[in-house]
Amino acid sequence: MVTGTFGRRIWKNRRRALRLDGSSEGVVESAIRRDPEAIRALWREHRGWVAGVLLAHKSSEVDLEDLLQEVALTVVRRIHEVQDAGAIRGWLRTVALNAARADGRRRSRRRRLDGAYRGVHPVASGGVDDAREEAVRLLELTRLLDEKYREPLILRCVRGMSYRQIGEAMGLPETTVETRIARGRRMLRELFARQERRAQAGEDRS
Amino acid sequence: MIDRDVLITRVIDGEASAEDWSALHAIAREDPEIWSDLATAQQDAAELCAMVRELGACSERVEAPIVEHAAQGLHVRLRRAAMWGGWLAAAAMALSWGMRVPGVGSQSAGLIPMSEAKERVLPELSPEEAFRVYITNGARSGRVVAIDPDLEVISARPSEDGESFEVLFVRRIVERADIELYRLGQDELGNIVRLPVDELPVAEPSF
Repeated sequence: MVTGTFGRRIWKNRRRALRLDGSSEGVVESAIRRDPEAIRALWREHRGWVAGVLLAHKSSEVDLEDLLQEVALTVVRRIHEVQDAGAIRGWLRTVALNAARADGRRRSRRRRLDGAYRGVHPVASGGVDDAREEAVRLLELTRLLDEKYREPLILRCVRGMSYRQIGEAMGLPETTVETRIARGRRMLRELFARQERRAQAGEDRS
Repeated sequence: MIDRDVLITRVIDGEASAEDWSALHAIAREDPEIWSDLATAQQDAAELCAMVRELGACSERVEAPIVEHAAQGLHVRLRRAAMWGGWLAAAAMALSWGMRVPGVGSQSAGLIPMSEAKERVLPELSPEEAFRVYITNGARSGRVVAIDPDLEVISARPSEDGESFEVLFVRRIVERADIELYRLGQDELGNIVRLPVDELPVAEPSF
């Protein structure tokens, strides 16, 4: 048994963790009842992987932070509509998907009106140094994957996101998530190799 | 037999069991290229994850916009209320009659200097503590809806000791209240009196 100052500190830290951990059901339920502190804690807990969902589905030229702010506002406005605290990941993913798709539709309408769209834009604007070039290319290549492979692949990169948590968000069994990540990685590897071969062939010709 | 891609993925994600490793070695005896595929996949995953984390780092800056949402909601409600014209004036009047600050006499002419307050509320608390109690309890009861983080500075001047500045500012707090609406009318002597409103308008949502 832990007693004394040390024990109190542990208990205090545990209480703090319980209070601030946005994934615990109590926090989710308080957030649904529109408790501002719970909404803040919930958002902080989940915003990292929500950014991953947006990254997987947003059009390449849109600013991730802008889109994330839009999602945060929707969460504040509509969190009370969540019926089941256990389904919070699925709900957050739906909100993120809707935001990314609505933005995509707006942009595609604008492009049709402008007639100015000229293909895929770079992910990061400004100068990309050589060390990051390959990583940028890889991320661009994920856009060529079917989104059912792209999303779990990107979510797996978000720190701490397990197969189970990805499955909860996407409404899929863990084994399916694992298989999709495995397939996605192989396809990405093949796409990259194909691109390399093409670039090599182009250099040889010139 | 476990799928080749799944085995590679388990190794990359640190999820491979002893059984998986045995299966991997067994495949490698027939197909040594699996080691090179594993190395490439590992490098791709590391680079992709670094990129995703770099781009996703902006999420740390995005907070749940609770205050903005409340203020936005209030703005919309006030705009709707403004369409009522006289109703808004009546509501404002009901508020001023019904929600006087304890200890402050008249509220008829602009700002009331707090030096006119006749009694102190919560005398055992400092203003900061009392303010915190007001905000916490107000938020809990639903009375306090939002605080505008931007303080509006009215004036600033050096303090008497010359070591700091004295700043007068307005802090805006959005509150919610349930009020009874009255309309103004006249009694038989011609005095202006408050008369209860029999029917509330139904075309607009209540606020």
